[in-house]
Formats: sequence, structure tokens, C-alpha cells
Amino acid sequence: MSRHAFFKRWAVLGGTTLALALGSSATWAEQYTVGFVPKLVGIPYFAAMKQGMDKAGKQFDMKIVYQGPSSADVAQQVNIVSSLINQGVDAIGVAANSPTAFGPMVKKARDKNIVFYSTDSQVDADGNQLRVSQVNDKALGYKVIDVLAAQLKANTGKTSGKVAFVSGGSTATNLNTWIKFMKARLADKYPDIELVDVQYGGEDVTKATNITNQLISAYPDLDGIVGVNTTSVPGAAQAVLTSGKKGQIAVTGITDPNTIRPYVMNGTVNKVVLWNPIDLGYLTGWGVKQLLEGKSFKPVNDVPGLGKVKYDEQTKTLLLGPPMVIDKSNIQMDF
Amino acid sequence: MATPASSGLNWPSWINVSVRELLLVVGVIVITAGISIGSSGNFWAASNLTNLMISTAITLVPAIGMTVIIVTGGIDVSVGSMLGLVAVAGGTAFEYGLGLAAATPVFLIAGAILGLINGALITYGRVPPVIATLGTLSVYRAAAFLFLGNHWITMIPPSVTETMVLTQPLGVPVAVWIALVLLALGMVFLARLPRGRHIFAIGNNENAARLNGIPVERIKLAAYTLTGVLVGVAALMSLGHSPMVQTTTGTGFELTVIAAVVLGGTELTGGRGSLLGTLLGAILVGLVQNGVVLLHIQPFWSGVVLGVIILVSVGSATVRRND
Amino acid sequence: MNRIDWTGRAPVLLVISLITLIGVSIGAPGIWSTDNLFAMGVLAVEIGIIALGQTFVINTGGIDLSVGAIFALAQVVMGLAMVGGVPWPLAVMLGLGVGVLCGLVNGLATVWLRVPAIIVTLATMFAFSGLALVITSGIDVSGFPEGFAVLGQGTIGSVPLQIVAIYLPLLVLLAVVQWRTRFGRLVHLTGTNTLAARLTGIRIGRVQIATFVIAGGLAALAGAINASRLTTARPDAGATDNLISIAIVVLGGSSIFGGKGSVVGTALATLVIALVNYGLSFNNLNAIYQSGLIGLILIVAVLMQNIMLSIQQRRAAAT
Repeated sequence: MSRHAFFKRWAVLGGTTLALALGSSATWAEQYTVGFVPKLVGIPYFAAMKQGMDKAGKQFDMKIVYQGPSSADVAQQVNIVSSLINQGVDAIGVAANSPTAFGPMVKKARDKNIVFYSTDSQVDADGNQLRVSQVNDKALGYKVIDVLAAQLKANTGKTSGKVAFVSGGSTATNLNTWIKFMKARLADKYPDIELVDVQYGGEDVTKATNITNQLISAYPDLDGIVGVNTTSVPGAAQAVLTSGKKGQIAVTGITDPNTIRPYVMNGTVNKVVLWNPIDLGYLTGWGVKQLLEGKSFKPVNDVPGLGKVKYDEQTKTLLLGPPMVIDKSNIQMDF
Repeated sequence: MATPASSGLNWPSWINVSVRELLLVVGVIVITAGISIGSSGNFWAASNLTNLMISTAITLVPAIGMTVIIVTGGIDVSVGSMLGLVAVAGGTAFEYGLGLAAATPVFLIAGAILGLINGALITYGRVPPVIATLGTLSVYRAAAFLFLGNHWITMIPPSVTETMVLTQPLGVPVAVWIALVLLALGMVFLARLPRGRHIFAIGNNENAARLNGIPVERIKLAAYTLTGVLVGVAALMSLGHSPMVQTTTGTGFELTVIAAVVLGGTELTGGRGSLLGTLLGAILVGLVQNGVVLLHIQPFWSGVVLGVIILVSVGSATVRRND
Repeated sequence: MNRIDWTGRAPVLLVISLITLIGVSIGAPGIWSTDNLFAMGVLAVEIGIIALGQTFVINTGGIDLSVGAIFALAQVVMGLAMVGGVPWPLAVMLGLGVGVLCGLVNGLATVWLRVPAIIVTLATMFAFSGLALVITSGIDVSGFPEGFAVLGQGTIGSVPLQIVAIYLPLLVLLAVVQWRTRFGRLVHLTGTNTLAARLTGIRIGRVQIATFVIAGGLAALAGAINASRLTTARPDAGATDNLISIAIVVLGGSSIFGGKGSVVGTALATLVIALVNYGLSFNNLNAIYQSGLIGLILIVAVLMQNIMLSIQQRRAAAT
């Protein structure tokens, strides 16, 4: 797989150079061009979303332009959005690193009659025409805590103990929202589980490993760790593994199968929670196409290939579906 | 002058302890005591000590090469991207099914090549070290991205972690032993061998060194290449510590390494420096980063504390010099 | 003495910009529109202002690794002040004050402790960005009064305000300072030969401190424009600006050892960098390749200059 990725990179770069030389600006008359700016490039999660968007692009005849910053930096995102707007795309959307930084860009896009949407991590602006949400934030936060509680019970025989959260960027809005709902679930349903600390490791597995190691030392009687983003769960699992606490400290959280596979296979992690990012990308592509064609959404929509998808008129949100639990039985999924 | 620093103590000359280093030892003890008390003794948990030692070793190994480079009057700000690109190369070797022993040369050779490029630009291209390595900092990162694309390498064989971290002769992980052996070799080399003295001579006065027949260019080239190799070693250790390669692996690592060397009393103007100081500097940096969670505060504080410690430490050295 | 050095990096820079221009225009002829020009300008202004300050520091033989951290600290301070009810012009002044203060800390530590600027600003970079995170708990600040938007989103005619009303006047002012004032000459002398400057009675410490204060203040100004443009102040902003600003200054012909260089050269280099960044982005080439290409340009520019120089020397030796 990696070898292919490697050669593909070269092929893509070579191809791009060729396209540059030949002049690639020619666009097909009726085909819509849709820009998508992920939080950052170079990570498998957004590559999977892109895969889904490309699928929708092929199916609904749209050209998808995927371009993002090299680190989760909203200033770089805004620069890219600005360039895409000036390129004259028909729709532009982001997975926002900061919900408030896109206001002026949304206005600029709308002034030029360009559709603006957000997906995965939303934009707070009145002009934002569509939000595509992977999962109900509340359902996700609750699910993660339920999985954690079940794991604690399996380890110790009771749903009580001390747990810590390791999150990614402290400024990431969606991660903070999930943390909020996780805390709420703990307070409502599991009063005997005590949250002792929330720490941030950025989008970096080494930092997550270090921070979890320190958490394990700082709280010697820690019973569980929740990783809130893709890199935190494997980082936490590695720290638990090397400190010899496998089976004593429950590790779960929100991450993708490719990243967590080694730890599920060796038993450090039993279950994690996610959604299907390929489907999320596909749903985003479908939603944007509806907007471009001037169609409106119904409370429940029939999306080809996905089935029934709910739409909330008030927040203009398409909702992919319930969270998905990943364990040994479905860890072979490739994203 | 031509040797690291003088001392009145009658120890073997390669264990050359200066006042600066004694101060650093005091600093390490004070901070350790502070964290021990603040964490109600949790600092001494085996898992924490292992983690601290591994993180320090990963900083220390490239810092040995960085010390040599800085003593010659140069600097290498590209080690973070170098670590990332080497990890990509080595990680790819693992993905092709190579075992730890077979993949190790890949790490070392990749590091050597990248270091050699830096060195060649600086010596034969006569590009100032800051500029050359600032350039390769972004070029190497772009290259890592080019090779890796949107893919992360997660299938690092468990034997890497088992060998580097979990195997602990005398309670100390193998990675740390490797770092200590490399450090000892470096100390003997700098203090005992003619080549070591040449390095200080270059830093003190490059032209004079050249006139005295010291092969300045070749030594500098070797220093950058050596640092590349050491970054390769650090990359392998770091995959034992957290077995995953991202496109961003190693980002900002150069700052940690340079901070350790500078804290250790090696002067950026060249000609003065000590590896013992670098060891203490690496421990100090490791402690500061380790302490925050143990003291139940947010990691944001580590930056503030590290900055203040560097200023105080470097400043106190100046105040003493003036006395 | 302080003019652009046409035998040095300037021609290399010119060639690079021409190649970029041609490449970018072939790739996407649509780039030649005022919209794109302004977007590029907006992109250039913030890093360009930081680089202007960096020029002065580097020309005295120093370096400032903390400008990105000051950029972030100043913007979150003014952001928090505005959210706390302080009128925006006052909050901006407060932020600029923080920048000046940070620069003063850098300058005083460099001069009093006699520690190389690179170490001092490495330390303050950790400290300032740590402070920015601490005072915000690491969370973005937003919800600013409407008036504040003028700095980063205002226009004069249809031209972005920050280009014509902030950057260009600032560039003219600093060029005059550099070429026509005693301070400009002192900066140059300090960088050319610190010892000689000291012997001739120049209080080089004061000159060095002044350059750090300028760099700090300008980084804060750039931070204000950035926060206004994004309607958000971010404690982790500007992380890459330290190194990019140094790259720009060196590309613009300044010697990293001090003495040689000009703000006009820096401005030209800023333009080239913005062109590369925006042009590649417009051709949908990834951001990481943009910074890789800039790194390559930096190395090639200095290498080319060295090669040209050695050819010249060889010719001189032959005649």
C-alpha cells in the first residue's frame, strides 16, 4: 500500500508539472468545480474523506480540488480558501481549524455566488450554507464514555475509577465539544468515574505518548484513558503498553482503524469509536451537489449509496449517522 | 581556550567539570526535588523514569553532534526535519518487511546522506550554516511529505519497542545505554584525540586553524555528517518510543536539541563547549517537559519555564565571567 | 553604501521571480487579475512587516527568533482586552505596547547579559509563546468589536487598506530611516564591525536594543492585522514566521553576519515569497511544497551568489 502511495506521489507530482506546462486551467463547461480545504493534509483521516468526495465527484459529475495546510493552521486555510475563491470554483468548503476565522471569506464567497459549506469541523458564520456533520456530537461523546465504562467493568468488575482525557489541539472546536459531552455523560450516568485530568498533545503521536506516560505516573491508580483525536489513542495505547499496564488501564477514544490496528491486534485496546470518513466525504459531495443545483433538503433524504440521511433545517446540518464502534471484528476496514 | 573548561579537580582530564556544570547539576537536583515534592513522589515511578530517560536520550544523541557543530562555530537547525525524513526512510524499510537489524543501516545511511548534504552546502558551497540548514529544514520536510503522502506508517515491528525501551539491563533501557556510550565516545574524542582539539581550534579561529594545516573543510563536513548519523540513531529510538511515522514527525525537535546544547554551556560563537554540559542540558530540558503533567498543570507552562531557565542559566554564566 | 547590491543576490532574486512568474502564469493564466493581486498583497503584508523589523536586527549582526511568538502574544493580549470591553484602538495600542516590551526584553537581555541574540530569542520564543498559551488557556479568542475589522479587512477604493495605508508608508518610512538618518548609519556600522563601532564611540548597545524594539513592535502590528483579518486571535499563531522572516531578509540581500542589507531588498524578497506561495497555491500545489521550494530558493540564491563571487575573484586574479 505504501509503495503504491510512494509511486503515486511521484506520478502525481510529475503529472502536475506536466499539467502546469501544458496549462491546466481549461475547465469543462458544465462540470462544477468544488474546493475542499481539510484541517491539514498528510493525514490518513482526511485522505479518506477525500476518497469519499472523489467518489461523489465521479458519480455526480463534479471536479474536486483538495488543498490544505501542512499543519492545522487556520491562517493557512484562509489563504487557500482565498486563492480557491479567486480561481472561480463553484463551491468551497472547509473542515475548520477555528470556527470564527472564516467570516470574511464566507462573505466574499457568497458575494461571488460561490456556495460555502463546512464539513467535519464546522464554521460559525451566517452565510455558511451547509454543515455536514459526521455524527451527532452528543451521541459520540456519550458513546465513547459508554465504551469506556464497559471496559472498566470488564477490567475491575465495577463502573468506577479514575480516568483522564488526552486531546489534540486545545483550540480544536469539535474536540472541545466532544469533551464537553463526555464530561456530561460521566456526570449523569457514571458518577463513580472520576475525571482527574484533561491534557493536550496536538496532532502528534510522540507528544501524546509522552503526556500519557506522565499521566500514568502522576496518577498511579489511573484506570482509564480516553484519546479524543486520531493521534492521541495510539499514543496513549503505546504508553500503557510500555509501562506494563496493559489490561489494567482501559484505553479507548476516537480514532481510525488503520492507525489503531496494531494496538487492537495486540490487545492493548479493545474498542474505539469513529464514523466512516469515506462516507462523510461522499455525503459532503452529495450535499454540495444539491446546493449547486438549487435543490433543497428534506428532513430525511434518500442519498444514493448511503440510504436515509437526516437534515436539520435550523442549523442547516446534514447528519451522517450514529457513531460506529471499531473492534477486532471490523478492524480490517481500510481508512 | 582549546579545551572545554578548566577545573582544579584531579580527575581524568576527559571528565572535566566546570563551575557551569556544577551549577547545572544543582539545577537538576533542585528541579528534581521540586517535582518529587510537587508530585508526592510519583516522579519516581518506574514508568516515569523510563519515559524521562528515553526522551532525554532521544534529545541527547543528536545533541552530541550538535555540540561538535556549534563548537566549530556552525549550527544545524534542520535536525527536526531530518529526523522526520529519516523516520520515513526507516519506516518504509520496516514496511518492506525488514527486521530491526536489517533496517538499522537504512536509518544510519539516510541520516548520513542528509547530514552530508548540509555539510557540503556549508563547506564547499560556503553557504552560512544558519541559512543552509534553514533551507534544508523546509526541503527535508517537503521530501518527507512527498514520500509519505497522506499515509502514516503504523506497522513498525514490536521488536523496535522491545529492544529499545522494554529491554532494560540494570534497569536502564537499551536506548539510554546507547546514548551514554555515544556520549562517552564523544567526550574521549573531544578531549583526548588530536582531531577533537582541531575542532576547538576551528571554532576559535578558523583561518589560523587552516594556516596550521588543519583540514577545516573536511572536519566540518564530517561534523555535519556525523550529526546526520546521530539523528538516524535518534529516529530509531523515537520509533521505539512511539512506533508511528507521520508527515510531521520531528517538527520542532531542532529547538529542543539546540536548547539542550545551549543550556549545557556550549557557546554559539564557537570554540567553547562541553559534552558533559550537553548531557546536563538535555536532562534539564527533559525534566521541564516531564514535570508539567506531574505537577498537574497545563503543558503550556513548560515553554515559559524553559525560556526562563535558558535565560537565567546563560545570564549567570555571563555575570560570573564579568566578576 | 546601503543601496541594493546589484552584483549580489538581487539579480538571482530577479531571475527566480521571472521563472516563478512565467511558470505560474502558464499554469494558471487566470492569476492576472486584481483580485489575485490583492489577495497576494494581503498575504504578503503580515510576514512582510515582520521581515522589515527582522531586517534591522539582522543588519546589526543579530537575529530574532521570537518575532512569531510576539506576533501571537500581542494579538491575544489585544483580543482578550477587546473581549473584556476595552475599546479597540486602545486594545491595539496595548498589543503594540506588549510587542515593544517584548522587544525591549530581547534587547536588554542581549546587551546586558552579552549573550548571542540567537540564544536570547530562542529562550524568549519559548517564553512568549508559552505566555500566549497560558493567558488564553490555549483557546482562540474571538468576538471583536466591528471597528477592529478595518485593520485587516478594510479597503481604500478597492485596494486592501493594510497594503496602501500600513505597509507601503511603513516601508517608505523605514527606508528613509535606514538611508537618511544617523540611526540608519549606526545600524550599518554596528553590523559591519562591532568593535570598530564601539571604538569610535557609538553606543552599540543602544542601537541593538532599538532594533529589537522595532522588531517587536512591528511583529505586534502584524499580529493586529492578522487577528483583524481572521476575526480571531490565536495563541499558536505565527509559529513558522520566525524562520520565514529570516529567510526573506537573507533572500533580500542582507548578510546574516550583519552590515549589509536594506529594507527595500527585504520588501522585494517578500514579494517573491508571496508570489511563490500564492502562485503555487493558485495552481493547487500543496503548502508543504511551497515551503520546500522557498527553502530551495534560499539555498540556490546564496549558492549562486557565492559562485558568481568566486568567478569575479578568479577574473580579478587573472588580470
